[in-house]
Amino acid sequence: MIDTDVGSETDAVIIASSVHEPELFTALYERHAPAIHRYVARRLGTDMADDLMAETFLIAFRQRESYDQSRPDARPWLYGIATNLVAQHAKAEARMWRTIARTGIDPAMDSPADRVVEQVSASGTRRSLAAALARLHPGQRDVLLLTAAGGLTSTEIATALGVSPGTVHSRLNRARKKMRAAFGGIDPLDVPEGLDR
Amino acid sequence: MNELEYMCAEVPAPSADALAKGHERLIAEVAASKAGSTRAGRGIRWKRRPFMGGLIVVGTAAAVTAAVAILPGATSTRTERLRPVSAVEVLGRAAKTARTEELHARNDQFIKVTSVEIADHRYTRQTWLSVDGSEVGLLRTNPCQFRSGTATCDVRLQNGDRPKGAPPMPFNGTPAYLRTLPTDPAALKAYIRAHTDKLPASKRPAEGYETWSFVVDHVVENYVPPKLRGALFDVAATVPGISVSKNVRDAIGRPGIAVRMKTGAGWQELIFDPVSYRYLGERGSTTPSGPANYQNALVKTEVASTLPPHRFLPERRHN
Repeated sequence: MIDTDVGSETDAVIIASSVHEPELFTALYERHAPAIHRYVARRLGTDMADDLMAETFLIAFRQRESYDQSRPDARPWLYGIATNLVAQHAKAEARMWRTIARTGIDPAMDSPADRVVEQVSASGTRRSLAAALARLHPGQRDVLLLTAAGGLTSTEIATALGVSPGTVHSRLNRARKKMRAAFGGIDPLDVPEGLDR
Repeated sequence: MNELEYMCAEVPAPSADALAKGHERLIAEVAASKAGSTRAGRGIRWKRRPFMGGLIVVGTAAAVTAAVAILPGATSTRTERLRPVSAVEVLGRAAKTARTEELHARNDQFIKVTSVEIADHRYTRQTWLSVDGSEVGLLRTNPCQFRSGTATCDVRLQNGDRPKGAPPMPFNGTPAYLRTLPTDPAALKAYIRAHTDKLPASKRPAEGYETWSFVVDHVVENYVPPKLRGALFDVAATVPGISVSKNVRDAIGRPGIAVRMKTGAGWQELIFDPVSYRYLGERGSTTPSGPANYQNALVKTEVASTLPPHRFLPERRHN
């Protein structure tokens, strides 16, 4: 159990402390696990997210000694690990997006048991969006979803994926171009004027 | 916000159950790293031959390195709806059923157990064990597990001689030995703990793992008297980190509900009949609910008056 107050420490401080006091690493889990879960659930559904969320932190724990201490916020690092895990399931991810496109059933929205009970079908726009996402190159999906689900900036995405910010920009541009093409010239990732909810 | 951002924003937070399980896995990793055994614990294929006495017990001590344990899993109304039966409930029902299933055997008779094991190959294994321990026991495997290319072979099963370096816990399933174990769950747990404590500190596993292993070692491919069998399942229910795995099948294809535990080398499941909660078998895999790398189904337990005609393989240590 943790009796040290880590509530206000930066992620970097927690990680550094955990090298000698491994238990402290659980504070990082408490802080970021829910967000990592939601990110993975968006890409692979809730079931796989349960496992990969845990796996992300096991890998992070094993790599904690090599964490770059100049980065106070560990989110890019954690999202990077999670993204690598998601990449191992690229086919499953494409399948999931195709399922949404075809059936409107979204495995990210609920647990398997709930699916039977209450099922809200995705709207037409979402189904088209899912169809377009299924066709994207995995690297392009990474940048789109790290932006939309992870809330990371381009710089943070570059850190997460270990690529240059320029690569992130070009991937993002190509992804949006493809999405626009799929939507008959309308960019589904744009917020329509005056319609921002 | 654009539509994709909405699709992301609406994803619900993980269930308390998923968070608790992830936390447990991390804690186990932390514990293993402190024991300095993470690397050793991973990759070891835990090989178990219960109750082979000095003859066949191998590998168990070496595998008892990875520590697993600790926090009781949180529950939420959401997960309760998701999972109608918890691991504790499954084991509770299994314990209740176990206490009703008695074989009436005299001291001069044998308990015969038939099981099917799928590891590298599929084997039918039959054991005859003397009730009072006065007679030598017999293990018959088909095909022969100890000499390749042989259809059936018999090996001697006898009490005693702990192999060098094995833990002091008596991995020994003869009816006579089983009678010496406490049948009260708390006392049985204390017994397990007492034996675990004698391990050298560097090899001492977390309590949960050792308790779980003890239960598995005694239940798999064995006839355990009803009260003790019930107590074993009750004790297993106290192990932190156990969870339910639904819709599994045992080695001979019977559908079941399983309770699983992360062990040093992967996941280990005890499978029960989904209706009666009678014990069916064991299943091992490297990932939760992944493809099986070890399976053993208990097919039949019965009383036999004598050993069948047999010819033992020349004595040597078998693995």
